[in-house]
Amino acid sequence: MLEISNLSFSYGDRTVLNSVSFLVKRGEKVALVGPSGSGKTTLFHLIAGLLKANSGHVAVGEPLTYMMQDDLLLPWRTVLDNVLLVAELAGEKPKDKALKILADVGLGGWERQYPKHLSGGMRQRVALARALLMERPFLILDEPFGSVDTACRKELHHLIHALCAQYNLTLMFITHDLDDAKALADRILRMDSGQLMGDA
Amino acid sequence: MILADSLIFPTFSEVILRLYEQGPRFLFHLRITLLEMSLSMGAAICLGFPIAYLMARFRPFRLTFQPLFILFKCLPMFALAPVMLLLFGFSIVSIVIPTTLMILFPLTINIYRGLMATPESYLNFFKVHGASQGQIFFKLKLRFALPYIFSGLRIGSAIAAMASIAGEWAGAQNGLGIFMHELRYQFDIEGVFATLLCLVFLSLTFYSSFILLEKWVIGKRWKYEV
Repeated sequence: MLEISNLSFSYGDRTVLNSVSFLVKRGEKVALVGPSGSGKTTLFHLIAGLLKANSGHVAVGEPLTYMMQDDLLLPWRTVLDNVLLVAELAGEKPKDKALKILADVGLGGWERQYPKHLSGGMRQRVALARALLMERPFLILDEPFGSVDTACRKELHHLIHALCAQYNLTLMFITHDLDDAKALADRILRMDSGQLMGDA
Repeated sequence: MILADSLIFPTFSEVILRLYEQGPRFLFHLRITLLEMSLSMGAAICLGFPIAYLMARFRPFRLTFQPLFILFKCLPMFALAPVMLLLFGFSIVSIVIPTTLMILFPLTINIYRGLMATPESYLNFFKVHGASQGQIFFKLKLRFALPYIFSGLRIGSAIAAMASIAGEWAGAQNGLGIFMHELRYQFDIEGVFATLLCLVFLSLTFYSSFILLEKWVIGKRWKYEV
């Protein structure tokens, strides 16, 4: 599904990633943990094609959806229109499917609301629904639990577990919290100073 | 008291009465000034949008236009009036060109700032999901730019009235500025104040129309959140 080999990246003189290699198999749930500035988000940007590596290789076997650190909901669009955004960019408008996914993430009945009426956890759910709409089998999430409280975090764990099973997803996510990693992932990759320090 | 002297300050009812008596003449000149303001605003919008887009999209345009705008800003536009009169005579063009140039600077800079205001993370999100340049512009950049664009339009609309009147004083045959001069020479104080009232009405209507347009286009739902 995903093969990273000897991947290195630097911003000018500052090395951000140094010869990182690992594999992710189809259906796996992989957590990427590490302190701030260890290169986790840069690695995701490279996987998503937003940055070009200085050396090394990224091979993504299946189409992916990248849910970034912020929920990135457009404030002038309703919940439903936000969910449909990625599909619209591809020239589609599967409204019924979007409504079903919104119900799956527990937001049935909220489709006409605007993002400013939603809590942090609800906004994350909308972003998740938007990510799921195109049914891309590989989902990468950058700190999906960053802006939610403990109760909501647990709800989101259950939800992501359920959605991964329902939509047969391969999941890779960044977190600072080992509890999140243990609760969701089959495998935990630990990064520090741009290097992969552990794979458990 | 000199301030209360009715020779200098007529009563409101006298002003309204003069407006009523000379209604058709006021209306004629008001229409001319409104036409000048509308044409100038239209021309500034037609020029401002493409210039701002090019400045936001291409660095060489940015480097070329920014010093030009500073130059325009430093130059009093009505210093151009004699040149305009030589080129176009006592025509509406002599007023519309300097007025357009006065509106163009704040309008274009606001549109440009708006087009540059889209957060990087949103741009990355659109790129990751394969958005075309057109989709990025219309679905994202333009929407983030709207509050800036309307701010520029409101500033421009306020300048339009002031610049048109100043232009008429520099050289024109009709318009509220000219009519005000005429009335002043006739010592028609009520008439002068009635002209001022027309100008206030014109300016407020012009300005308010852009506020209404902004409310209609943007709405209140997300305006204060961005």
